[in-house]
Amino acid sequence: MANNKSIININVNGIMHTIDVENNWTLLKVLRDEMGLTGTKCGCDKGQCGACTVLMNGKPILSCLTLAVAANEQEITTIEGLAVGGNLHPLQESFIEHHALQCGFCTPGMIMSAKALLDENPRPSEEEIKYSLRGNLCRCGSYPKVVKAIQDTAKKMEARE
Amino acid sequence: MSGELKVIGKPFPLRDAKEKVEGSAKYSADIQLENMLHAKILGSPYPHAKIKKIDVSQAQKIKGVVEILTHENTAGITYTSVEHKPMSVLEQQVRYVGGPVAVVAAETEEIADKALEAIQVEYEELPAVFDPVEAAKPDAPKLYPEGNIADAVPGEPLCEKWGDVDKAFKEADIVVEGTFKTPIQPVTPLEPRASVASWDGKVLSAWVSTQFPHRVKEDLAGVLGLPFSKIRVISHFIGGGFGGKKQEEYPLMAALLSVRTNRPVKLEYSREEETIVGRRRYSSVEKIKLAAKKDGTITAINFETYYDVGAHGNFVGGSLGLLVSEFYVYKFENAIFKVYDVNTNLPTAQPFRGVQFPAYLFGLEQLVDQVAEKLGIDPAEIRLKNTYRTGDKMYPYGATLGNFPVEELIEKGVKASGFRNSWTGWGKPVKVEGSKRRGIGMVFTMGWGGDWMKQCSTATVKIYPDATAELITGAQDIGTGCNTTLPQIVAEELGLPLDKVKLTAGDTGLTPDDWGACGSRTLRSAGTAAHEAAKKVKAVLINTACLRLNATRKDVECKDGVLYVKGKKVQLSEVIKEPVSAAHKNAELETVAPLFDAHYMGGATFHVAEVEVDIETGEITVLRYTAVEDVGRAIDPLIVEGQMYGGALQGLGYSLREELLFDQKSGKPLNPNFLDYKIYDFQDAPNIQLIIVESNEPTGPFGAMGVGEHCINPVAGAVANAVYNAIGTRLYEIPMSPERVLKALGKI
Repeated sequence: MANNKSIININVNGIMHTIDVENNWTLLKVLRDEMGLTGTKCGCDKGQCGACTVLMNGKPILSCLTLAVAANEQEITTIEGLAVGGNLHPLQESFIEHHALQCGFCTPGMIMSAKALLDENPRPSEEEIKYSLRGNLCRCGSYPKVVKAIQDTAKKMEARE
Repeated sequence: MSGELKVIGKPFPLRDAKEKVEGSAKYSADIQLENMLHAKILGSPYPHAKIKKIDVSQAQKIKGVVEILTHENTAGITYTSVEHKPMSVLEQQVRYVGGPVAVVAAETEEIADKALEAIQVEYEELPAVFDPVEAAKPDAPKLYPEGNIADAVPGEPLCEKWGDVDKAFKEADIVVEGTFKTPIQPVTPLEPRASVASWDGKVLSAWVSTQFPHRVKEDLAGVLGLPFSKIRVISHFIGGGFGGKKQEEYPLMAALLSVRTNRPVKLEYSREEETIVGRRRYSSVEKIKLAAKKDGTITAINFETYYDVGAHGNFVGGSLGLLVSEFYVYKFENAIFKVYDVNTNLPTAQPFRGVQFPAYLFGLEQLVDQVAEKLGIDPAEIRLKNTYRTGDKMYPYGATLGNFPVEELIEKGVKASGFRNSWTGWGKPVKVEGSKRRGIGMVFTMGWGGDWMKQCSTATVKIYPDATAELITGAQDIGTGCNTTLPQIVAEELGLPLDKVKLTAGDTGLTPDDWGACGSRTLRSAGTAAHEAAKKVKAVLINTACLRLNATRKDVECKDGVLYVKGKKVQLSEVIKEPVSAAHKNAELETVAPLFDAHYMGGATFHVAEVEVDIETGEITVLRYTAVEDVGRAIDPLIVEGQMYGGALQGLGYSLREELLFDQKSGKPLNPNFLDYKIYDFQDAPNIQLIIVESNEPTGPFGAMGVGEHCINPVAGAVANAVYNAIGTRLYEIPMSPERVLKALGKI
């Protein structure tokens, strides 16, 4: 019988973990079920809703379509890793201020996509924000306020620099 | 009044926003307990069948399989929701593809999946029916022995009529009519339904994604044969509901498995299950006919509709709407409303945001426009002519209409949408450019302010000696913001800063009953209970102060968490050493007929859509959308805006693209996923302007009414009227897909 298990080393939110995984486990499953990081949500498990978005080496990925073994020796950032020393990330603050969330289920994925966008493009246009977040679905209707929250974050971060 | 308000009318961070943005908010599927089993459901491959034999012996032999539920070992375990027929948790007769046949609890999800494959079922296939009009015929295959018409009197449509409709049609100057078809729209909250049940031998704790925690508590008690006191339903975070997440079978399955195995059990729907086994909107076939006089007065309506309520639905939401709400948006002197709620071999329908009114207004408002066009009357004018006004007695039972600022809404909406600049008259598009035709259209309607089951809301408010307070409520926040707005009401009444009012909610073990989150009822019903409880606890405090400080009531005032006795400040801690509390249960409302309240909260709503139609491709683009709504008072304007955006976007999806399709032979769903069933994304969402009107409804807490439900209702009608203005041809079926547009234009 072929060995269907692996040991992987992943850096999650700055902490190195060595974990036994089945080869067919997704990164989403490992984050949620093995590491208890349930801030990353499972909305479809098929890469169609964006709720499971996390950063791998700073780039947004769908953790439900990424095998855990593919995250071996990589750096992962989840929503739980955004606040530093108890201080929320400016995006998190801005989402609160602008009510850029309703039920909140899609929110972690939205924030992670937004973080990746701002890291690469600190002053995105409205169109660029909509394009970058097009894979993050929301049924409550938070889109207009999310766009505002991201624009406002960009402004505030620029002012701080 | 609003000038004096300190907490109400201002945006505050949502009570639960920090947890939501940090990822620490625990939704049902996030609960992980030690020794927990994972459950999976086996769905029927047939739309209609009887289980002749079910053999689970092979499945049980798989290592790690702990328990399997079938109709055989759950026989006689039934539950009843207000919104569907009495159901067994698992039934021998399956009535739609995907309908639950067995449930496996195993050590892992993978083992549970394997076990599902090993269950052997012998089915006797039964004839199936998918169309509500066909299913209503006497010779149609029967889902139930009593037939498929699932109304209050089985087999009979529900009917409401008044005046002399025949005479009105005979005497009419013009008559317009149409048959309108609307699709199956699944709810598709981003959070798939999930439950974790944990039985410790004494108490059953259940985390459930539900809008109705107190009703689920009753279901669990009934199914498990336990008293309410031994059931605790926890629902701190719900990932969207929109009417779909109420009383269903999955939490009952998880609880039964937990009790039988003495272990915690998690049951999570996949996206496919969420779309199919979860609930969806009725599809409908509506025949509507209007009679009118030359001056534009609409004198009669004849409305006959078939709602497809699916496998287990009943008349709630379909014809029940006749008895409680706003079919009567215009002053119809003569009317017949006849509604058939029909069971079909499709997933179970349940009232989804707006219930049947988005479909109703899609038909009605196109006909109102037709009357106006034939008579050469302006579209805003005909609506102003026929709508009720504040204080009017409404047909058929003489309920009195609350605040209803029709003129203000229409004026503001017409102005903000630029309607007068765009509209060039009947039969003329706004603009023609190559194959692109631009058009504009409007819908006016009334909503409902939230009186449904008002008497089923109770709240407790406590005041502590350190001038902080606590609101304990059974109301459920499902993304609707009541975890913030209800404490705002209490803070305002007690004169406390909002952060001094603690909220206890989301746990039936700690909270008093509340009917549940539906029909825009929370702010009005639970809000009134919270407001009244706050007033009562203030009175208790003042009475206590009188006794302790030897003062009379007129000498004592309570303001900003401080007592003033004859104008002199007294700290609360000098009067009370222990918290004082008061509870309030709403009174029954006065009615004019069964289910018709004597006072109707209007919820006036006006939408304008401007669209561009490409007559070569059939594609419709919404260029600009304006939504105006009377909310009575915006307790938190940003929450109101969120609701209005959500209603508009879900309504645009319903109008233009959302339709769950089924194979007409096998009854199998064809697109139960986000790839093939596309809800609006960031790039799809058009520019939406929102206008909040505050009429200060006298019966609402601080003048507020419910907001969230009826903001979806006008959308399909407004888009359809705009499309007609653009292309000169009416569409009678939604979604208005490119294919349907091209068909309407005679191009395919």
